[in-house]
Amino acid sequence: MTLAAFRVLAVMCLCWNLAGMVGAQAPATTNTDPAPLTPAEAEEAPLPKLVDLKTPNAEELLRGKPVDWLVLLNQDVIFVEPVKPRPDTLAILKQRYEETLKIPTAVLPLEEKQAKLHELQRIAVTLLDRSEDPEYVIETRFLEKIIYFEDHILKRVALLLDERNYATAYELLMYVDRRHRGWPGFDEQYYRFLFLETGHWADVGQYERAMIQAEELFARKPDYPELARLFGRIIDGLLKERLAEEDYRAARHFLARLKRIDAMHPTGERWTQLLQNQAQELAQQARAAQQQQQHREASILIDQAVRIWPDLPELRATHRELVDRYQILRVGVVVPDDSSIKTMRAAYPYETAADHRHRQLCELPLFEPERVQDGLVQFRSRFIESWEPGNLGRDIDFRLRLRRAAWESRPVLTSGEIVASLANALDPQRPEFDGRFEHEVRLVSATSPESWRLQLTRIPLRIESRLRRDVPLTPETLAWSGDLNVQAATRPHQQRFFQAEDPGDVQIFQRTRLQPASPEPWHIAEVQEWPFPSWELALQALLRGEIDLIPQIDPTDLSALSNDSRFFVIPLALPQTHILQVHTASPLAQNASLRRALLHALDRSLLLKEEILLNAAPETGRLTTGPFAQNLSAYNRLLRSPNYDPIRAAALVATARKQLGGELPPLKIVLPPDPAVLRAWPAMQSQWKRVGLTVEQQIEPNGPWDLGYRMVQLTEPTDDLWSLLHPSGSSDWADLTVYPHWLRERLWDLEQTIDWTAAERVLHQIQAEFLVEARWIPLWEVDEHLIARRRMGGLFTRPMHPYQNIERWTLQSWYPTETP
Amino acid sequence: MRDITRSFAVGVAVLWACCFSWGTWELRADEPLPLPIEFQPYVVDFEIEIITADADTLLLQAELSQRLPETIERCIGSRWQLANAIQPSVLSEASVPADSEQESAEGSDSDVPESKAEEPIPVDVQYHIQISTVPGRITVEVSAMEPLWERRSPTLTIQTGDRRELPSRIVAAMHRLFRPRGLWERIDDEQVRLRVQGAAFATPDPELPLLNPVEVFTPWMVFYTREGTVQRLVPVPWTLLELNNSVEGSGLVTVYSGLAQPLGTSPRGRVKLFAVAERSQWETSELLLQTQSQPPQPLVAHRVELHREVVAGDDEPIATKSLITNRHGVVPLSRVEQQPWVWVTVTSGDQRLAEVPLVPGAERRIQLDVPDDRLRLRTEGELRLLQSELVASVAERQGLILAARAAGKKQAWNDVTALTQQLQQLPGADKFRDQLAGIRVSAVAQARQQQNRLAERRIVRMCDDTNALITRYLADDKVRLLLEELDELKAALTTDPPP
Repeated sequence: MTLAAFRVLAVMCLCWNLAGMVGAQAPATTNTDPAPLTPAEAEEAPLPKLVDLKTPNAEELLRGKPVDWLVLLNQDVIFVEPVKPRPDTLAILKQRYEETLKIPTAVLPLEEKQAKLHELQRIAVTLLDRSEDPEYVIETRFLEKIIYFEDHILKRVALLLDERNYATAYELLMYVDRRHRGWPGFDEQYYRFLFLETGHWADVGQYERAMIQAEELFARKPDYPELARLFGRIIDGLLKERLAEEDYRAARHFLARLKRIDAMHPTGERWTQLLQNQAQELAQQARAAQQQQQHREASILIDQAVRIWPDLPELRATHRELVDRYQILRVGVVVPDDSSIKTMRAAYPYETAADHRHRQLCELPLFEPERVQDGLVQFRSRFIESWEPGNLGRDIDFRLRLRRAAWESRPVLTSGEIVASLANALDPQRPEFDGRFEHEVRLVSATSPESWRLQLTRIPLRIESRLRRDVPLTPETLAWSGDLNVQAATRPHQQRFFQAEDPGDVQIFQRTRLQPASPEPWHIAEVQEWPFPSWELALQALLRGEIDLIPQIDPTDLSALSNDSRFFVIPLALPQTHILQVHTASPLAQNASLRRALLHALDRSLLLKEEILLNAAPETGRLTTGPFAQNLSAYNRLLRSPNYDPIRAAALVATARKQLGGELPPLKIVLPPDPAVLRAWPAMQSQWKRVGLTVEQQIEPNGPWDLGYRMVQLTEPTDDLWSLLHPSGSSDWADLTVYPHWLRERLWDLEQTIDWTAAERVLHQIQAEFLVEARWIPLWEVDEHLIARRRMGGLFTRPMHPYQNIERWTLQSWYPTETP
Repeated sequence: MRDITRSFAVGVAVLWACCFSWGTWELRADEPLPLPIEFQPYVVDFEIEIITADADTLLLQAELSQRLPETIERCIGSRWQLANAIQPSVLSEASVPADSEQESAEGSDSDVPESKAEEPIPVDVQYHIQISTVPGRITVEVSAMEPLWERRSPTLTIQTGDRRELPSRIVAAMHRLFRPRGLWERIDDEQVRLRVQGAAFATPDPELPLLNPVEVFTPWMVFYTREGTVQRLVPVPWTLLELNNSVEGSGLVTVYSGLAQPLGTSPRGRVKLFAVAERSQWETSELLLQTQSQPPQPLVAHRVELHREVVAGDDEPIATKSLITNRHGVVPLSRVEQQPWVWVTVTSGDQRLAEVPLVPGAERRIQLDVPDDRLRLRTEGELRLLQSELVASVAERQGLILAARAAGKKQAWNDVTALTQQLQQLPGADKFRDQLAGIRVSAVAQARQQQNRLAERRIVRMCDDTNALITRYLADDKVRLLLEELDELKAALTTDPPP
């Protein structure tokens, strides 16, 4: 007899003994004592009883080996590795046994049948803690039941749920699900888990999470008891939160979700009614405000009403009427709240993009750029009706336009005010003094209230560009105009729109001149700039209908948005040129080798592609060799772009080091608070470092700097060039001594030219000379695009700036009605 | 016969000459010699004008009319003589032209031709004093006019509430606007003897001396007609005479000039050599720089440097003030109290256009015409750009040489090949010389067209200097030597048998 057979025999004997106790309720102390154990068996420990065993804890279940419990008829428990088939092993075996019995002998020979039947009456197990021959076979008739490993887990899950230990319970549930999907009893526990945990999230105020979970439970078991009440509790919490934040869109979103689950849910209906009432109340308030001529309040109130509940049919007409009367344009601007951006803003000595944009919106100069045509910027004037040159162009008689169109927002200027303002620019004692202008002007005089004369010392190249000056508002101007907003008096340089006082983050600009009360097409009355910390959030707000315009599109989304029929994507007439300006007081200004090293050390192509354009829309950016836009005739197209040459840069650094006595000073750069620049800066710094140049960012306000990162749009190169020659934009020769005499002579030649061909030639020469000497370090130019909702009318096809012609813009009544 | 006639004519001529000389000698013997200039007072006149014709102002006018002469007498002394106190017959060396008929200082009227007795007294300085009063304050504006030079001084304003101090303050203002003068005599190009009018008189008030410790004069040549009137006044341009050691107003002065030979030879004819003190009476002088071309062009954005004269043995560093002309070609020169005059240097690029001595504040406006240097300046600019490219090319070449050498030592022959190819593609000396030739030919042609030989010479010199730089720094030897070195290195490393 083999040892294995002997063991089987021994177990059979043991089971036989146990079988004698079938039906006995009492524990081991029964009348039928088991057969005496064989000597081998006497050495083994007695089997535990089922009642003495506890459900394994989570640690054991998760970390330990899976174990099935074979419960014998005497309630002894044998620990085995998971048996197969599972679950319902005994039932399956029994079923198979019966099926096998029914198989005719013709199909299955008798011997085989008997063998199979024999096999089906037994179950193969692997004992635990047996290093030698753990395999055994047990007759099923000795087994009462099998407690599977998964059952242990589910039992433990139930206990954990009772203890509200959701995390561990969930872990165990997933374990079961992974091991055996569809295990009997799994669903029940899982649903219970979902329900209880949902309630827990609702209790701790995480309603959104609770909502997700509740929806999942509903998807699996719509009729789960108390689920509807739970939904009600969740929706109550959600809506209270959202309404406290005045996020009505989110409130409607959750209500819609509830409606999809239960259209007649009482909580949903209650809140729907509440919101509708709120919207109607606001609409009534709006109507009341309108009757009191408070059109701004009326517009704001009705807009709030439709954002609370847009589906109320009676709101549409009211909205159209009230919003049309006072049109508010909501603009989204990206203002990162990153601390480094705030530092950059404080330390940057120049006009930021936001400042530039506000100035374009608010200031109204005598002449302003209108469009680019044939490589030149054309100007127009709101104030001047006509002008007539005399004395070969040295004397110019201007005639003012005293009447204003209804859509115009500007003061009425008399010639006296203009002359007084220009006289200030000619007075060296005044801060507005302009040396170049003073040299050109012989006399400025008012010839009548609506005409004035400018007498020049020479024929001007373009008088419009020289008169790009605004005339500050004075009390006299306000009185004479008669219909200007009194608040505008506090901001004399804001003649078109003025910035209203508002302590919040939103910057509000209103028309300086109130629109007349006569019925005719109304125009934009107010511009609100809403800050968003990132482009993505601004775009989200645009798509949601919270804002209507973004002045600058991120290149990553340009292509997709251009194809979106809901919006206009409009390119600006002039790209923005990025250039590094050298401070005249810096040692950099005296050392050409060092400047050239800075230029050649930068891989501008890579920086433009990866950091500025973010590997998207390559056609919107290009390298440049000067500060002028490449679509202007002032740009010298014959110049070759400086190549990326780190070897040359390193050699130039060595030369500069020798020239400066063996040591190179670390350089400071001021950076504009622009996200694209912030991205590019580390790469630039690293490329400079590679050739031996240390350039650090200046973060101290008013601190010294050597390089200034400028983002410019020079509309009139002959005039705007001066802003890049000196940090303050001074055109006083005494401030420009850093430039060699022959270069100053070139600048003087430019100032003296009277025909555009000669001016272009000199500009090209200056651009070439500055590039060779690296007196500025040109980087790239980037096209700008704005995006606006198609409800807006009156936009320019290629504006000079995002707010061009804003006085004539119109906003049609519109609000988002789709269910969010 | 012919000899007799000739002899007779000669005899008559000799006799006539002798008679004439005898006559003039007898005439001169009766006339007194003119006073030395040091003893000649200045003839000064003043008029008092009132703005507000109220009683108090009228009274003040009368009071000043009486007290001013007394104050002048007390403070200035005999150095000034008021014109209304002078007899018409009193004439001075300074006011009488040389070689003309002289009048006796004490001669009777009968000796003086009637026409001369009626002639107005030539006044050296005419003061105009304007008074206006408001309750509690008296405002007096004093200005001076020098008829000979037709020069009007700036107006000094005095404001006071105490009328008692007015005479002394007015006299102080008059003194401040006063410019002493004298006669100069050339010794050589660098030295001149100067005698100052009125210097022999004592100075009653040491606060109001005739001369400052260092006094600067401008030399003039005054030409007269036969009748004794001034024909023309010609200043010696851009020249100053510095008097710092005088004995009774006479002494040697040092000549400082922007011209090579400012004084030239002594002029002939009816001419007197005057010197007029230059004093900083204005706060600022506007120096206008323009070209000598027609029409003159203002020199805009030109550098103007001011520095004092270097004195032998003076170890103090010379402070140079650098200014730039504005768009009108003007640069303001502010007066400096401790430094009456400065050297003013005008440059155009690397070229000095002019260096002249000036007294800031002596005149309201000073005009300096200099040669037109624009063509040379433009050429200088083009050459500078060429030199910038040269520096960059040399630096790049050096970098590539070093890199190639390092690659050779590492036996990275592919890198060596690439680097030497880059090296050979760099622009060489010939390319730079071609560019230089283009600049030179164009600039020289323009200079010849303008007939500006000076500019042409300077342009050629600058181009030669640039050519020397090209030759020095872009010699082909370095590249050739490098290539040979690398070839040898490569051969040595590839032929050596392995150990």
